[in-house]
Amino acid sequence: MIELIDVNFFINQKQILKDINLKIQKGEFAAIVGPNGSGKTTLLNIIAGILKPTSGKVLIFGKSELSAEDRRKISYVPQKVTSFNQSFPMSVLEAVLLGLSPKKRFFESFSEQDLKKAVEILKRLEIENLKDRLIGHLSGGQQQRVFLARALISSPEILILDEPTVGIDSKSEELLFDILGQKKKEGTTILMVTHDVYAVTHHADTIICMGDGMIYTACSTKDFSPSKFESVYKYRIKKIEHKHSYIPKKDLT
Amino acid sequence: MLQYEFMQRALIAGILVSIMTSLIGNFLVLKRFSQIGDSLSHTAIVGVAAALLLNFSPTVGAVLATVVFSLLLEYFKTRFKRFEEISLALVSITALGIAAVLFGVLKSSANLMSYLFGSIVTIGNEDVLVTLAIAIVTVVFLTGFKNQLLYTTFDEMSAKVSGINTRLLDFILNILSAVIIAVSLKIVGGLLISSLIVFPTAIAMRFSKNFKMLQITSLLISLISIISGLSLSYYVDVPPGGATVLIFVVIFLLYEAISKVLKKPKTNSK
Repeated sequence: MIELIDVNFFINQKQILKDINLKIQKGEFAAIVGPNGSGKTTLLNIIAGILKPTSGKVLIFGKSELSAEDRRKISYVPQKVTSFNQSFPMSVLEAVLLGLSPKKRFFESFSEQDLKKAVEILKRLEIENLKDRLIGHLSGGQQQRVFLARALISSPEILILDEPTVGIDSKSEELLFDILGQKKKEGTTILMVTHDVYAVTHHADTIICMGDGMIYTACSTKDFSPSKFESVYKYRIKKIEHKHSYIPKKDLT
Repeated sequence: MLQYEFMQRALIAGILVSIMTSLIGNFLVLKRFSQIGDSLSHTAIVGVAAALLLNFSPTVGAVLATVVFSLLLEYFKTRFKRFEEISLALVSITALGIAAVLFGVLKSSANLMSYLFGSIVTIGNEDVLVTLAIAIVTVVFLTGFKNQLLYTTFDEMSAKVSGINTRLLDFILNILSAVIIAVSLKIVGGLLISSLIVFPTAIAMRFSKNFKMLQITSLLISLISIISGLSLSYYVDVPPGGATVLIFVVIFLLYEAISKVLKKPKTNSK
């Protein structure tokens, strides 16, 4: 589904990504983790087609050049804070329907069925009551749910999320992973950049750990052990016995 | 005033201009690119000055100049990514520099003044027809691609990932802005055309609950202002551009005053 072969990426002579080789299968939930500046978002942007690699190949659906039709099968959930003008005069319902606009032809407007689908997704995300509110008037967690609803309405084959858990409460996070789990079961390939190692060890299939522009380790969550992260985060990782989870903790001793 | 043919022409052209500028203004203002009106209007003045100097149609000169400079703007945008206001400033300054030189060469600037501040008596049948043609193209493009344009305006990156050709839409939007500004010169004038792009959306944004409401109310504000501005121009004998801008300012201040009076005590609704 997604394959990267010897991908390198430079900005002004500075190498941001080094020899990235990666394969993500259809229906796989892969999480990219790593410290700030490790190249996570750059890698995500290259896979999303926002950036072009300096060298190497990126194959999505087995193709290196995607048509507009192929791209319509991909949805992207950006980091809320960097992508969104808070005073934009747009209702929640309008924002969700935007997810269908790439599939609309010239002069084709949204159908009753589209509206019904948007309301159903909002209901699933427990924000149906906010559908007529201005999106800029919602809380961070509610806005994040709207962005997720917009990504899901087109029933994408690949769902790309850039740090979707930043600034949201635990209830919204639980709901997010619940829905991602359901989409995974339906065959959606999920790729997510996150700092939330705790959550991904529970929900993802694969953890890709990045540092200094390289993939240090890519393993299944079953094979995951804290020691695999230590060389990347450059501090010792402690295993916390709580809900069978691992949380990276800086060892102060 | 409607018994005079020149006023009929001015009103028809004015209504067409207000439809075009308010519709395109919705997207330009929300893209935080509202200064494009100012920059391209300066380039339109260069086209008019050059046409007067070389003795051909000033409208054609304005269209040619704005299109050429909008292409230059696209080039600058690729050179100054994330600093788009620099590209606008560069185009604006370059155009003003050329305009200043052409002003110096032109012996009479009387005709040029009507392009700077607008004039209702100079609008001919040909101008009305050209404006109508551009208005049709504008409405067809902005309505036909409304959803894709809105997605690009709201969240360009996500729109691009999902297969919308954001670069092409931006390019067409820029060229269309250039042509609209060029054909609107005679009505509002080059120095004030950006008010028609910015004011209606800026006022409507203050109270619109969704994009559809923004489109309708900004169009109404634009129509009211230009019709009032043209009427004021006829009865008081002032340039229509200046009169229209003053009407915008009055509407804006009225809205601010009324909303202040009606404003309930703030509550934390989040």
